[in-house]
Amino acid sequence: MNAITSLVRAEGLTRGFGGRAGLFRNATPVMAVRGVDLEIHRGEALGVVGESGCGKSTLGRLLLRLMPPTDGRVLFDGSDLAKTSRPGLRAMRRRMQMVFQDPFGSLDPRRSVGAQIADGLAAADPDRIAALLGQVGLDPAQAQRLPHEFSGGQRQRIAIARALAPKPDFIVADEPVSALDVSIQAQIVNLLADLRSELGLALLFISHDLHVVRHLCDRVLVMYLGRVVEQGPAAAIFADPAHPYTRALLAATPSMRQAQVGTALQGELPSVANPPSGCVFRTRCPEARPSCAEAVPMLETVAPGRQIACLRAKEIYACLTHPVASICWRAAGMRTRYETAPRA
Amino acid sequence: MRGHRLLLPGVLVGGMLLVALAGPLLPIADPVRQDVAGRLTLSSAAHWLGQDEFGRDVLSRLILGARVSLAIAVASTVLGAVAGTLLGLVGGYFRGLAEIVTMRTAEIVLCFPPLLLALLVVTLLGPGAGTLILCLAIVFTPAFARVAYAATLSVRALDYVTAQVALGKPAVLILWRTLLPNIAPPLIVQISLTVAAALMLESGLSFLGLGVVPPAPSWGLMIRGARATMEQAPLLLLWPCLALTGAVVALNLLCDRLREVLDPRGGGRGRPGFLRVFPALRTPSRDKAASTGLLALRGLTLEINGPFGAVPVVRDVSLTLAAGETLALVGESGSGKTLTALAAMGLLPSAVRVVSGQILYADRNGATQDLLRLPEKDLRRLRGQDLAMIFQDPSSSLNPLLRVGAHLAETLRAHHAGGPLTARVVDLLRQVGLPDPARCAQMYPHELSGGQRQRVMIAVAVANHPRLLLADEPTTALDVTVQAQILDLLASLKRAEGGLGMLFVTHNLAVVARIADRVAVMYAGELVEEGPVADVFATPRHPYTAALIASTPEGEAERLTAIPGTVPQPWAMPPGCRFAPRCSMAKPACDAAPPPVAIPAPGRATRCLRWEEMA
Repeated sequence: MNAITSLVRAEGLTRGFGGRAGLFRNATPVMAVRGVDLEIHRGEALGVVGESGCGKSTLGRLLLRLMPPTDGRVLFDGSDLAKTSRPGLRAMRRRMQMVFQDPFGSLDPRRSVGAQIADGLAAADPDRIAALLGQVGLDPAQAQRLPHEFSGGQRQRIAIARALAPKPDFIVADEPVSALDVSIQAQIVNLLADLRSELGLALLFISHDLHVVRHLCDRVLVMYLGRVVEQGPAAAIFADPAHPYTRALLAATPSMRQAQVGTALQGELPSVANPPSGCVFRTRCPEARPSCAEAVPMLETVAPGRQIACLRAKEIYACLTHPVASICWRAAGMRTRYETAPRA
Repeated sequence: MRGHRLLLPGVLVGGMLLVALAGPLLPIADPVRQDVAGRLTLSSAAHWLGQDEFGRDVLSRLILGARVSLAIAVASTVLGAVAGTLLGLVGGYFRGLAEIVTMRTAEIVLCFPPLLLALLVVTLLGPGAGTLILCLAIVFTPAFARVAYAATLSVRALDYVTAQVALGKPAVLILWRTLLPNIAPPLIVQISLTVAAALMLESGLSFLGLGVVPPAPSWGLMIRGARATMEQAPLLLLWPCLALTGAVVALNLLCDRLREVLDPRGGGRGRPGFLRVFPALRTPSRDKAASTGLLALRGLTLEINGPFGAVPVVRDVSLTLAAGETLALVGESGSGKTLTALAAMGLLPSAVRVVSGQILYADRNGATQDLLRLPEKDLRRLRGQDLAMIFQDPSSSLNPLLRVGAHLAETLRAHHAGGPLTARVVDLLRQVGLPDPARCAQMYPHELSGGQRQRVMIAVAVANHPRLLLADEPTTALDVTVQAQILDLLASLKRAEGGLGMLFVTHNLAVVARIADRVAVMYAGELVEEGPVADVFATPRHPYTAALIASTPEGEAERLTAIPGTVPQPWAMPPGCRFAPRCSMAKPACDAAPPPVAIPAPGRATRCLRWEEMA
């Protein structure tokens, strides 16, 4: 991977909230994102998965510089966003866009959808607005209507049209289908997949729905409590999850077509304000050892393009390359079982 | 269409302004000409409302006084609104230093007593209408700043503002085009309150001699003058007070209507539907005895009073739940799945009406009751004891002021007299897998996480060993790892409480596969398919079920099979099969009449004409 081909590159991205010490303020910041490195190439779709509070939405906003990072930097097409001048940043913003989760909050209720799409254009060109509406599967004649006249799925299409208007290279989609019905979800997922292949868009797809991510993304980043615990090619991660958290997450995700046998995680996500020492996952991890409390595990490469942050990465790596993984997991004394079989 | 709502207040305020503006042109008496002989006389042909303590004409002073009073009120409000909104917008949007400068300044002014401020300004500038306007504007600015600031803070966090930032729009444009229109409604309310307050304050300050200088007419000066002679001529006090009240009411009405008209969604619609108890149906129940199983719905039809008259939201739904069985009710939003489930509890939003049908429930004594025809007293005895419910949002279904233990004790006490409750409460909390149940009973709901709160809700639901548990999307608001825990808990509770029937409402097919024995699929208010989960998922007999399964992003398909179009609105239902417009298998016969229920195999049902052609 060389730096020239990557469109978006984050180095040690960190963001804390409310850390400024003051007379009545707590001095310890809540770290929403901690030391995230990532790279997104042109036309690539990177999925970010994790439970609520893992920092995935904050990560998306940091990459677009909708909020400044506490530490670390974001390079977009080779230039550091923090060092870009204000007008330069405004111009650069047009090349990176965002699609939000809530189709009812992402459109201004008081302006026509055509006007809102035109916000992304250099000039309000009716032909271009009509073309964009057509591109997302809406009737171009509806440009004069107000957002409340559309259904949730149609609003999400309008929000996508607005994001496409300035011809961006990169789109952050923050849970764009979670608020939609199943049958509408499929329409939007297909639309995003089509647009990606037609326009060569790079996509950061944030979702808690692992099935959607598997369907749409090339690579996946698994986050837990602000840290990346596993990353790698989507197909490999879903077929053979390595990190104990990823395994538990997949085991917990109900599936219609497969019967899963897996270990249910005990307890719930610890508070972000008071994370465990050492490995953040150790309080719920079935494989945790006393040494996990001491040091924060770094991401280690376990297979080509795959990295996990776990003190037992070496044992896990051995099992991933073992001909019969499940035997190896058991032999290594690993308790996180994750096996699937097609439903009868 | 909504413009006519502005007509009445518009005419009132317009009339008032017109009279005030045209005052000098009207053929009325000179307001300052004194007539000592005629002082305090009542109404006459020359002086319709009589003469005041100097013999001046009251009507002409009232009309010309309106010019002064209204001008001061409107001008000071506009000045205050512009200045305050600007401060609030800038402070709320940019935060940081801008916030400190603007909001703290506003707060300092707010701390100053208005009267003291007025005295100060009047001393510096001398009395008069101009001074009064400036003084009132300063008094009103902080209130506008605070309202604008609060509204800006909530609107700037919305995604459409973030989207404008992401589009690289300059801040001035975002403030002007996006924020200002969206913070307008509370500001309009504030304006209406302020104009009224300004009229009052002008009167008060003029009354004290700080405002308009006599002999120029103003409503406040009129009140001041009339007070001295109120025992001889009480009517003199009445006229300016009436004018003041009328002006305030008319302006309030105008601003209220204006706020409604400016709301693109149309005010008033979309109020939350409160659950209420519905009256028992009068029509007698037919052949109750023929029911089998724990719960049987027969031909349930519910109506809602929509903008275009009564529309059926649930039509002719029939299903059966056996003891010990889990039946999943699946559908998209608007399919009527939650309403169907709520009706079984005898609870519905107030806009929904039961039209016909039966809900047959076999009680503990083996007798069959029709819940739709049961008096509320008997129904209440069943609820919480035989029938229990878990809701979607665990944070809003627990009373934040009550300890966890109190919720459980209340439920236990409602259906069992006395006895030591503490031990039972702790037992229940342990049963639902809460760590340290004794301590947990002493905690308040906000001290628990979402998953733990849902566990408490489940403990409340199973406290009295119900026979039927209704779970309305109980895991939708939870994370997957917690969802798995709750699903496991529900399954183990079912095993522990033998014979507990569960009606599980969800939109998630994968959850259905995990928890349910049988599944009922609803679409646009109708039950389209029913059967054992494994059979229905393996060989769906309705195109909607098949399309739902195909659109779920699992498996290796390169492209998802999306269902084109959207669910029809309840008031615009297709005449025939409701799925026909989106169905790939539709033929002309589908549009002609609603398809009857077909039985493809024992224990299965489908509402499709072409089920046999589905491979």
